Amino acid sequence: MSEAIRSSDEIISAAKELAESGRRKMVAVAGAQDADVIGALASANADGILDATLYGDAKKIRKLAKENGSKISKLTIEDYKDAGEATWQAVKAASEGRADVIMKGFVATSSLLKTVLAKDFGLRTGNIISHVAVLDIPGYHKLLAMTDGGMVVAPDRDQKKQLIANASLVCMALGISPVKVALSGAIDYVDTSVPMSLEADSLTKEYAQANEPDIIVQGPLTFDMATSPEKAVKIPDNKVAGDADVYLVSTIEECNIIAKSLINFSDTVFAGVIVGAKVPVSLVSRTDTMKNKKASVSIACLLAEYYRTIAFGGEA
Amino acid sequence: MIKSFAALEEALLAKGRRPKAIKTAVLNPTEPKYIEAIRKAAEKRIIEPVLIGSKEAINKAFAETSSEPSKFEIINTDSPEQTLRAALNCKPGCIVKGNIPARKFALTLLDPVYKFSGNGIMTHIGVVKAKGYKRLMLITDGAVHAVADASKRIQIIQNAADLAGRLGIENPKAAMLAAVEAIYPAVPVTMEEAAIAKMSDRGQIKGVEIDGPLSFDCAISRKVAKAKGLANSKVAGQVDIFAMPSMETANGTYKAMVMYTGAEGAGILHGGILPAACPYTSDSETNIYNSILLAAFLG
Repeated sequence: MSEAIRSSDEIISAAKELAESGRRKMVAVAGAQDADVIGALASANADGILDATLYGDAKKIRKLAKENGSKISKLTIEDYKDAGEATWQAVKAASEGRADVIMKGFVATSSLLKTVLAKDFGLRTGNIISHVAVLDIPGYHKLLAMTDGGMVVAPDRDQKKQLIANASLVCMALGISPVKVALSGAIDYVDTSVPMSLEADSLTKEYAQANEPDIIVQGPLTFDMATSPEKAVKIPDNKVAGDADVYLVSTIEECNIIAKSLINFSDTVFAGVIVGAKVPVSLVSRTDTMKNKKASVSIACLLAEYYRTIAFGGEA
Repeated sequence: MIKSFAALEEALLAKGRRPKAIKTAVLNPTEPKYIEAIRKAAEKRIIEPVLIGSKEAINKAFAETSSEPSKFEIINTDSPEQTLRAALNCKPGCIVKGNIPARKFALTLLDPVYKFSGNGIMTHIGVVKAKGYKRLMLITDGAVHAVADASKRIQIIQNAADLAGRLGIENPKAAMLAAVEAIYPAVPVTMEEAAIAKMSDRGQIKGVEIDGPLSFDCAISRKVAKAKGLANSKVAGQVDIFAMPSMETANGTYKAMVMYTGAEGAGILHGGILPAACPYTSDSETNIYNSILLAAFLG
């Protein structure tokens, strides 16, 4: 990929181009009796973005599709009434290379992830499992990946490094290089009475010393300093200020609340994905718009391609 | 009840409310946006400003505007301490922060030598008028309290409730925000917020109705709250005070709102002996002006 992807529209069209180039991804849904998931996949399939296998209660799946007018004739259904069994089969398909993306249906996220991480499947990476929300914020000149607003409650220093690694994978799958990571703060300087500013400073120094040219880490940076080029002129030597690709926050609440303020009060589109296993795990929620859902499954497809070809693969 | 910054300005300009403009000490107005906001408030006779800081830097900022420094009283100082002393010596009705980070400004004011913080708690409150939300959003605390335990969180909420009261908001409602509305023993924030909400239910916290944990969606929408089984919440969907679980969250949410959602904002340090307008350094001229309005209104 030569140019970095900069918007949710470009995420969706890149996934489509990938499919058209003959590398269309297969999504395995765990517990597919979920109207929102069926609707999103039927629509993404009709757009030529992906194929899907629906593991779940076939009767319920057909009923929900009919009720909601979702056309699923081109999707495969594998009938498993038991949610645990459906989950197991979906993950097995991914572990055997028959599916590229695992998608959460009508099952609890925790039980799905437990299955994904089961030793038998060999899908662990050694890294923490985390959620990355890629935001397309009108007014910001690029995509902003925020993490973690869904999985890791209060990451410690080492976990933050793993969150950085996971979010960077997503950015790299979007063609972003180097990945500019801003560590969040309420201040842009180090203040000994602000614990988060000390940790951000120490991580910044560690990454500056590590020879990792693809990832630039700077912090603490306030949300405005991280994303406003006008404000960033105050610290011209800071390569991340005003141009962040990743905003790494300190708590699940911080990520979730800031992202939701943008989603609720602006036309921000977001694509979420769970990272940290060898296969991306996609999930959509009832409150997502269709565009959010499509962007979410699209980013999972792009990530799956990146995993196969570069990160964990070499099977290209 | 003040529901917008326009209403705040209207209240300040109302006949007879204030025979004289309020004396206002402005600290370090060394960027054009501060000069413009001050000039506007002075022209409307809302404030009578005294500009304090490096005269050279202040004059430089004036040079980038069409305003004349000669029309303003300017006191030259060369350290933060001198600036604050000079400001307080003016016997102002309110003070206004210029080009200094909000937290640094607040910490200077909290130094006991200035006797500024009084007996209670001083907190930063970001006031946001969002498009599509009927009330003013009081987002707190984004600058002063880096680490807040349960008792401090209650004080922060009560201080915001006091501000709400002064804005004419009767029975202010506070949401303690979290990532989810469910209470999980594994997520400490939700446990703490649930306990404070229980204290509120039992009448242990006066002057404000508190619920939590609430997700942002539930806080701003009664419909979403109902769908999530919170139909009985007295707070969801009508929140005045957004009590954030961390300083970083309050700071980031205020900035996300004013930068990317078209919302207007204002910042205030509340709880000291004088109201202190405290916009963030990235705040726009409009938001600085709104902050001045708020401080003048409270002064």
